Amino acid sequence: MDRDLSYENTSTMHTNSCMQQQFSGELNVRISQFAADFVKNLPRYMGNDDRVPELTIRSFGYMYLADNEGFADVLRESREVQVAAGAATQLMTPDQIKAAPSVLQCG
Amino acid sequence: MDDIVLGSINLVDEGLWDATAVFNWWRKSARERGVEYIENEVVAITKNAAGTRVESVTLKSGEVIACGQVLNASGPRAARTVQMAGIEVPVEPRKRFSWIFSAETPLDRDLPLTIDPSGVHVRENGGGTYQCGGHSDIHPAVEYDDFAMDHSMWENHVWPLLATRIPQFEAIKVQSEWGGHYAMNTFDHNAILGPHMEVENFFFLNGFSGHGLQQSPAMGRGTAEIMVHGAYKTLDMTQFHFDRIPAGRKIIEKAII
Repeated sequence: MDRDLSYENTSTMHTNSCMQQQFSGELNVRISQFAADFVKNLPRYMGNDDRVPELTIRSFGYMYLADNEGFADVLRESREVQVAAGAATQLMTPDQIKAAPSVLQCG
Repeated sequence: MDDIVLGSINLVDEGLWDATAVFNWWRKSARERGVEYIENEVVAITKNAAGTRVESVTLKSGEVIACGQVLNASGPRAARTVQMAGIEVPVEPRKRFSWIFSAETPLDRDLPLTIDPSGVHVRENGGGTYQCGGHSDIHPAVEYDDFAMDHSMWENHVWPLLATRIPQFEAIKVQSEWGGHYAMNTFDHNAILGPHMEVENFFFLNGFSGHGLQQSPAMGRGTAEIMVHGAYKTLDMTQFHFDRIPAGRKIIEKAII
């Protein structure tokens, strides 16, 4: 049942279309890991339907920026949870962000 | 950017995906397998005398449909839907604004979805364009049909901030913009799943607080498991069940943009 099958005003239609592994709760990390597996194996999950397109994830990552030590600690603690669940999260100091081939201006 | 003390990034399975393709194939496949999509609106929910089951829902058109099980998947309208069953759920529509802009001088590499401490976020959109999102400092619940754009936010808040972080973004042009709603769980910003404690054939799939689409494969699978088998077969989603709310048991999740 949907009040509008055009979905014009749904949150789904207003999406940012991105997924992240960087959650602070382990189950939320696992949930997004399944999302990644699902999207990358869509034809298989749709019952080996060969009409279904092969999709990829454009993994440019989410870059969280902390402007205080309290939030920096949140990022550090969250990374521990993410890495334990198998995610590839990296912390970057301002110097590393400056030295990396990044577009962000930290100087 | 002297204010930044630490960054955190993950370059594996994190970024942009074709959510529209997935959404459309779910609907197509469901229809082919016999799911009937009805364009209508539930205006009343009728329970049995003991209040332990939903017996039927009444539609705007006047039809009455008997219910085996009922799943509330009504997004930002979740609270209004369950009110008809005499249930309260702490989900509100909160407005989020989005802009797609082109840059006069595009960046020479993909821009990560970069989250400023203010909550403004911007990402690669391909072809020299970028998608940006944000909300006002005060973002109370809004009316269910209020999608009005706050045009001053871009000029006064978002664009200056982007130009400070990324100098090439001083010369940019907005191509499109829109307002949308998060189904914000005001209790603990996490999904609300599972059955109601007393109304035993009523299930929740609510309150995703901005993570709905990326969580949909796992949440859809889990919800199918609990509704069909009465138990989870893969990821155990019990901690997200509705019963945590009356019990005052919050799940802490800090990555809410």
